[in-house]
Amino acid sequence: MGFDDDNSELVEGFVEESRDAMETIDPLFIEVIEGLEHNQPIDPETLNGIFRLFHTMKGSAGFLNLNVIVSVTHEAETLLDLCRSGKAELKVDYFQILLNSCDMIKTLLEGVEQTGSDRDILDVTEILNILKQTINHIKAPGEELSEIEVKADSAEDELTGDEFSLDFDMLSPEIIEKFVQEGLDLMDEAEADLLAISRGAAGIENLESIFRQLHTFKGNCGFMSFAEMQEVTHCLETIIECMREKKIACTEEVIVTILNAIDHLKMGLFDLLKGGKGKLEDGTALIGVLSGFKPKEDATTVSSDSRMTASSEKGNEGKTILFIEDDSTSRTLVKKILEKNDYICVACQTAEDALEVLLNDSASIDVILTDINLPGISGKELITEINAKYNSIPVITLSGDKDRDLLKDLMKLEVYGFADKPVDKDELLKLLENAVSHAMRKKIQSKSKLLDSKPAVKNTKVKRDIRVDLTKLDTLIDLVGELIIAESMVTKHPDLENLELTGFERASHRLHLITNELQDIAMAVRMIPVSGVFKKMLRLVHDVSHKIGKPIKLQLKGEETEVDKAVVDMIADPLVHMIRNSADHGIEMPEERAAAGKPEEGTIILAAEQKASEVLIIIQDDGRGLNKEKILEKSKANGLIGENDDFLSDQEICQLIFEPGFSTAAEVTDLSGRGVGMDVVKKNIEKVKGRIEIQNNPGKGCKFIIHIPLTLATIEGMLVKVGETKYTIPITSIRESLRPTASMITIRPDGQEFVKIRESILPVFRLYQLHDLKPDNKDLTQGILIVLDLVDGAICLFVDCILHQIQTVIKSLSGYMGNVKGISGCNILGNGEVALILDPESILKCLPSDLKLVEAG
Amino acid sequence: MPAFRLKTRRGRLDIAMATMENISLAEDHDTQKDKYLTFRIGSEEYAIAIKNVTEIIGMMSITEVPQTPEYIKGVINLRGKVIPVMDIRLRFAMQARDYDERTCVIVVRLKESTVGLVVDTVSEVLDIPEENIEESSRLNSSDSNNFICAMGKVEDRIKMVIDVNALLFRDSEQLEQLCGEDN
Repeated sequence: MGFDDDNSELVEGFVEESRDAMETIDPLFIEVIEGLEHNQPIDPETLNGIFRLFHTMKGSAGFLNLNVIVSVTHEAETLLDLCRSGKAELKVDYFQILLNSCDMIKTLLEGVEQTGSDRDILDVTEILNILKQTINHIKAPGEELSEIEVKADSAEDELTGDEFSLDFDMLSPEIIEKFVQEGLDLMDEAEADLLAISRGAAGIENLESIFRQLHTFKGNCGFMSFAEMQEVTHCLETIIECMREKKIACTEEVIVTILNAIDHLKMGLFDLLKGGKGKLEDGTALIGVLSGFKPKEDATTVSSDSRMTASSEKGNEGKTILFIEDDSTSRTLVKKILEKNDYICVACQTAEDALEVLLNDSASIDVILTDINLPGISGKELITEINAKYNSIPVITLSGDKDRDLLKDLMKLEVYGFADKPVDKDELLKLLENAVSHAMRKKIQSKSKLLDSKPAVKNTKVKRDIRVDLTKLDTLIDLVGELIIAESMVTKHPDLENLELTGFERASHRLHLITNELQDIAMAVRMIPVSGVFKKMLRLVHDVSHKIGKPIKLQLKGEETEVDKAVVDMIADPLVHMIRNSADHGIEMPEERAAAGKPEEGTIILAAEQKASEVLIIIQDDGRGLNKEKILEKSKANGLIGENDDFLSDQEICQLIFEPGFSTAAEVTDLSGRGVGMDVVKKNIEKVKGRIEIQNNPGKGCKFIIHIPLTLATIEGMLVKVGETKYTIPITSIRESLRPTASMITIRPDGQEFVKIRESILPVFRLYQLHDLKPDNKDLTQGILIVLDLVDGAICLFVDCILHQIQTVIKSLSGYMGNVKGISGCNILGNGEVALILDPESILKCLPSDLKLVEAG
Repeated sequence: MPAFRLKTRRGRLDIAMATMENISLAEDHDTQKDKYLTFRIGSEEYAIAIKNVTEIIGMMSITEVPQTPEYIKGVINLRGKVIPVMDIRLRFAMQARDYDERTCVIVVRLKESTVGLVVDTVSEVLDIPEENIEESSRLNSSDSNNFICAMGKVEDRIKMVIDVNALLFRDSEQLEQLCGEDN
């Protein structure tokens, strides 16, 4: 089958999905291999997870006629199946082979992406042979089976190994797709009907239609042998039937539970679509919950007289009631009534006692019956407390007071029922009984909620999302930026100056709120967690550690930190270099480590955290740290610094490793040491306006901290003015701003000015000199000094005045102008003017040469 | 479409803009053929192929950008898009002249770059048939003529046709150097 245009989208989706799958598989493999190396038990779920992912891919690839991928995934799957079913001893070798096949598949995927076909990309026969040999070896040690037999066997394994697969493999993808489509439609219709019922807007015909839909679905499931789905549907059908015959009331709880079940079924269907086996998450538990609805029908359908006895025989038996009453006569009386009716009654005198009982064992209490007027903690407070902590337990109040306000207050507290004092026995019992059944329902509900939340965590892939073309997103974000500019152009329009427009002010404030929120959301859309990039590093460390024979553990922290997609894309490569460096140069050989009293296994920590408007990515190793002397020596040898540059600070020395051509490694390995790498790292990081900080601890390790702005699209800045020109200075680099007094200023003979601020002496740079502008004044004491925090230390920038603080969208300074040193972009002000955004780190690089000399000296 | 209609007495400019509007609405390359926007610098008339022109705007406040060549006056905000502005007089190494109410910015687009050109005044949109265009290679003399690729004869007058590519990108290496490498 050739790939025409219709298919290209499918292929694209497949490649995308499979890449994701591969990225998920890698860390799983590493987990298994590491577990095996440390003789730890392997979580069967991990193996199952890997198996599922391979299986999914095989299914999709088969659908798209990508036969090479199918063949590789099939063999890999077979091998995995042997492993997970316990037929094969788990060996690191097997997983190494599987990892290799993963790499193979990745290459294949690339080819598929480019050409739409997986043929003629690379020779997979070798890996296939290895896989087959391994499988044969496992199946019949010493005896070689023919390929066909192996296949047949593996198919059999699947049948016995997985109870739900049955003749799954015989179903063609087309049939499954059709089944899923139809199933989803049926489910959607059933859902719509259910919702209509819950709104109260529907009658018996909706129930009947749900019944029909479920019945059809059940039939389909049966035909396809999806036993679990069939069972769930069957339970649902029973419930609906009972509802139709009015044996079960159409309460919210019932409907919520049914909807839950439908959601589960849908997930099962999606799983099928992706080549899974349609197994439901927690299917048995779900069936349990659903069947739980049946017994209740007895209780609700029997007439009220017999109900008393029936309930005292069954329902109420052992139901515990927590009874709080300060008056001892009334306490004994009610207790007796309750116990006569087979309730277990825990009586307390005060609310404090009651809370203690609850604290110890809230699960066994079914209903709480409490007086309102209590000494100490009042009944009302008690109820608030109970609602907050044990909200599944219904509360009944007991009070002689018939105060309306009190009643209203209690209603607000969501009290289940009210009983009057003196106690009417029948009324109280009736209330209690209803409360008990309410409590049971609530418990079921919370169980099903649990069910509901679980798949959400496990099946993150199924969460509803759409893939959007990034350019579309960028356009959207651009437009939002424009909208914000346009908004301030309107609301701060010069024509409106000096006008009293209260109505307009209010309206524009509202507009402002909306645009702000819109901006936040637009920005959030671009944010993705760094976990994807981080997980790739697991594999890298694993490979490197094997290649160079150093055991290294990579710890990930804060993977959920979200950053702009562009930033994530940018940091991937630098991270590879830095981690590789840490592993190769940073971590010592095991013997060396042992001698230094460190654990033989080296640790690299890769962490991400958000701090203000920056994201910090930290790469920390517990290796030998950077060798200052060696760096200096090498730099001098390579001519990076002069022979006599011994005055460099530690930080400056460390930064030398980012210079192009730098390498301290005595010999070039195939991993690193060529001296390219770190300079690329620095360049890439600088591209996203980030910087790298190094904390070196010789002998104990080295810590690289990459500071990256949270987003590339907006900036929080201070708007300053020099003459007619306006500049935006990123707020993150401003330490403070001040107007100096004459006594703070010192001028060196060469003209360089310094300002003493508290205990530090900082050089002053005049922005108008740097950028050749005409300032309003040249007197330091008449202008403003802005203290900038730079990597190499703080400096003062002299400007005319500060206008205000702004949050603004960064625009690039047209590509036509190229890269202007000292300027990172520009932004549009409320009045439509353009302000330049200063790049504090590079501002000194554009110094006129005579000024630069002064700075260096 | 011109974003900014000049509410002045300059009827001719309005006509020029209206004509442009019609042309861009037609969206047909054939209709753009042989059409030129003419503008004036000093006493001379220049022409620029209409296919390169996106709009004409009035003068607006320009933000200077440091370390750029002299003829790059800075950047302006064109409806949220920041574009550089080039003063043609300075690019032609002519005497600078103060901007007045007749000063216009012609926004041109070529090779993904949008640049504003400051001209003394915009005249009109003209049809200059191919046979009336004369390649100017033999007329070349000084450096500032480098940006003129042809002469167009309209009745008894001559319009110098601007080579937009040269105007924007010639010496751009030098430009880049000035912008990027200046330490």
